[in-house]
Amino acid sequence: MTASARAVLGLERARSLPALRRVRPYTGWLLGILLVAFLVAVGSDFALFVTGTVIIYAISALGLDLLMGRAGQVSIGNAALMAVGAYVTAIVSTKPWGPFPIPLLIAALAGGLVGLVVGLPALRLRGIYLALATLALHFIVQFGADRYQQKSGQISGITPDAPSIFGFQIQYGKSWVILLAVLLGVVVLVLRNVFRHQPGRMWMAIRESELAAAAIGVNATRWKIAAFVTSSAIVAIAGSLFAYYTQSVSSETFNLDFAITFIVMIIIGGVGSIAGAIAGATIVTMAPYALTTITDHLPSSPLSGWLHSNIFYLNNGLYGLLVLFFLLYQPEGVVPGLRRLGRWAVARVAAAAAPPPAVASATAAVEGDADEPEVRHLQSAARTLLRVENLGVTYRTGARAVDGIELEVPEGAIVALLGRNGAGKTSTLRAISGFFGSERVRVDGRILVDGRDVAGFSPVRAAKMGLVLVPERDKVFSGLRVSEHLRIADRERGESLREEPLFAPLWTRLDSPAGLLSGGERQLLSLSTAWLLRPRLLMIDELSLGLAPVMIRRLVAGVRELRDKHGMTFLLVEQNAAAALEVADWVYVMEAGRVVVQGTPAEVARHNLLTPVSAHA
Amino acid sequence: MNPQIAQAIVGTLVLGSLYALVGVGFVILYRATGVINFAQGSYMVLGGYIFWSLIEQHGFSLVASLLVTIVVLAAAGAATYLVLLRRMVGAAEFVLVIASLGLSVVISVIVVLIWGPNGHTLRENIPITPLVSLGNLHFSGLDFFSIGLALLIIVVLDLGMRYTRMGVRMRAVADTPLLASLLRINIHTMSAIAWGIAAVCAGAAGVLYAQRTSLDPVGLQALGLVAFPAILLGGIDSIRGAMIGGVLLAAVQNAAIIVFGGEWSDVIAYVVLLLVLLVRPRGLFGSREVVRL
Repeated sequence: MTASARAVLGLERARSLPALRRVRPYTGWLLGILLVAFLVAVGSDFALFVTGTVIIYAISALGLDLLMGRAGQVSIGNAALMAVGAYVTAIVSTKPWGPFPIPLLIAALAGGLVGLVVGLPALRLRGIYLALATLALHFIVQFGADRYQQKSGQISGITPDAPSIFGFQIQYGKSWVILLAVLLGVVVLVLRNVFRHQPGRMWMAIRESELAAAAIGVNATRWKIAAFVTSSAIVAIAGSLFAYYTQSVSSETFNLDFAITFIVMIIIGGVGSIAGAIAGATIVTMAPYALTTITDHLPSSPLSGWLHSNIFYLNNGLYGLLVLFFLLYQPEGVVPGLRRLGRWAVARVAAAAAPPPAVASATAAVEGDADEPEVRHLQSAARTLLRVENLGVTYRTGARAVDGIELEVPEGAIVALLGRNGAGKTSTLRAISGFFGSERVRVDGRILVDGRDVAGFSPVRAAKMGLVLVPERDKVFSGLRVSEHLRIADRERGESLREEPLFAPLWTRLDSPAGLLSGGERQLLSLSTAWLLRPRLLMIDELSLGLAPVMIRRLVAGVRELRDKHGMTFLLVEQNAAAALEVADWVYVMEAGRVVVQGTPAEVARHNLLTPVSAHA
Repeated sequence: MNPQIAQAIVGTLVLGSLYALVGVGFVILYRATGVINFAQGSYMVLGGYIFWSLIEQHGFSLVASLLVTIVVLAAAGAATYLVLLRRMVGAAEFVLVIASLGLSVVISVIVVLIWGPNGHTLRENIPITPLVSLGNLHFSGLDFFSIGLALLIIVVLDLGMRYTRMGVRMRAVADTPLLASLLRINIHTMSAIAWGIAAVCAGAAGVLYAQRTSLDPVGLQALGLVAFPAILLGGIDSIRGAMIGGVLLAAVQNAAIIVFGGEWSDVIAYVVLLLVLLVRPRGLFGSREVVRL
């Protein structure tokens, strides 16, 4: 689906009309200006008031998105930063030296300064720890604001002087909305330029991988602090405007819910998108009004009555519901979602106008690829436990790790899968054991256990079918004791293991944490826990890797003994050809995702495994 | 002993055990699922209201109210995972944080829709007159009950995690989730149980707090957040740390109340949080790897 979708997008880029492409960068501006002009011309006082609120929130959300969407830092301190801007404005605007634009600038400076202080922990903190630092900031600022109000005797709130430009008093309604719209335009212009140049690229690098960014010489700390300062300045400006606009600054306004609202706006609109932040601010601000209006117009019923009496509380928590809904069903947000929809629609129109060239030739080429080696499997009287048909594993990056292989494992056999690093052995095992179910890896072909297709099963379900995998790395729980491992797998705490001499060395280590075991002991422990699950097919990824020859001999002998005594079936993946050839009944050799050699150990040993198998090179 | 200091010591033990209770639930949830839960304050509110409703509106006995509250919260916590968080497994850490913030808002709204916006004062279900006095240290029945219930839940959880098969399996999931799923441990079940445990711990703390002061949604939410400094102080992934961090934070807060006055109690906690983040982000007992993430 993704490949075809990408093809469709490519199609769209090639064909969209040139005229349309020239206009598209300006459609957002055009729409915004038209909308504001329309509201100013015919909007009611109430509509204008709401518009002003939306614009102020949008500026604040844009500031936060710089931090969250571009630099990838979560902040719960948005309300605190707005409070900083608001209090600075309330105090400075009443001074004789503080006419209208000056408080705005001082607020930006103060916000930047606070941003610097909050950004400083970024020297050593990342991720959620930085978010907790902003949580601390939130409560400390709110406390300071509260104290200030009490000390200055303005408990119900501080009122800033009404703004005026060149003696022209800015009044509620049209003039405010026009002023705010212009400011929003300026913020958007500045941000667009910043994002297109060095800072934007640096922030993106940090967001994607701080380690990788540092490796190519990005001073992550410096740019993170830069993001905090810039973002905080913008948010403080929004706070300053908010103070002017509401004409009352009180610490109760800037509570934690208020801070979370802005995070919600960004999530809903689309993280890392300017249009997204504006759309998110609009949706979150308008949603309560919309719900109220809908409730008012519902026909009378018990539901509408209930809605009516609870509308206040519902509206208070609406943003919480909205964000959960979006995280579950539209995690990329409104704007990226709409963009995709738009591209899809354009592509559909373009595709309808000119039918795409036939893709039959490609299919024919695949079918014509007839130099497949002859597929042979172990001939056995026992019935087939596992049959893999035409298995393919494709990673999200497009890499095809396994390219149509066929395997067969009869009951009671030991089958080995040989090959070098990257040959696709581990991917094959993981596909069989259901590892890829939750990841974005495409598995095609069939995996038949007793004739039943188990492809796409979760590891738990595959394990219940009797398929158990001993992974190459992380094969034991390093924090758990040996005895606890046995208990996980078995209610009898592994008593039945005492009958197997292979596992004897573990009995002296029952109380030690698995993290302290030697490599050989870890392998024994992981084999024993897997064994306790009574698997029908035990898959071992690298039985002998990194172990001493003595240990390898013991393990190989142990595997054979478990098979001979209990009739258990094994699928081994090995880089060490000697160990596998010694124990296996049948061997497949993989190279670049395909099986290139197969046969009995004696047959395979005749191929020189040390030179590259060049049949498909 | 100075009676003010004596009172602060008793207050430290009581408040510290509440923080410890919330913190232990938080740590178990964090270790099993990797979720930094901001919704614990809401579970405290939920627990408080369910308990109040049972004991004062429906005439249940103290023990019955407490048991039913715990069962309902365990179910609510598990349901949270099954309905919501299960579908976000593997999402980025900050997405999970935002989900828990949204969850917190939604639970608060549900509480208001069911029980209305008003706080309540609970009857004196447990005597608050001094029961045992050591000099100036006066412990009331409620003090004993609070500290005792918190300790009981923590000890049961700790023993359960160590010695029951389910506890060992849960620690296995916390240790190496992929390997756990290979060994037939159902990670979804374990995660749902961890959510249930976190909700029970927070809810029980909510009941205790409501019984001591009042059933006040704003106060309970604030307390749920102040548990963060306590958890970070102890170390975000350490159960022992959550307990010691809780008592330490309560001591600092009570000292601040004596020195600066009552309104400084919460802000001091956040100053402690900032200091911990700046000086030793892994806390007293946390493991080093967590911070590096």
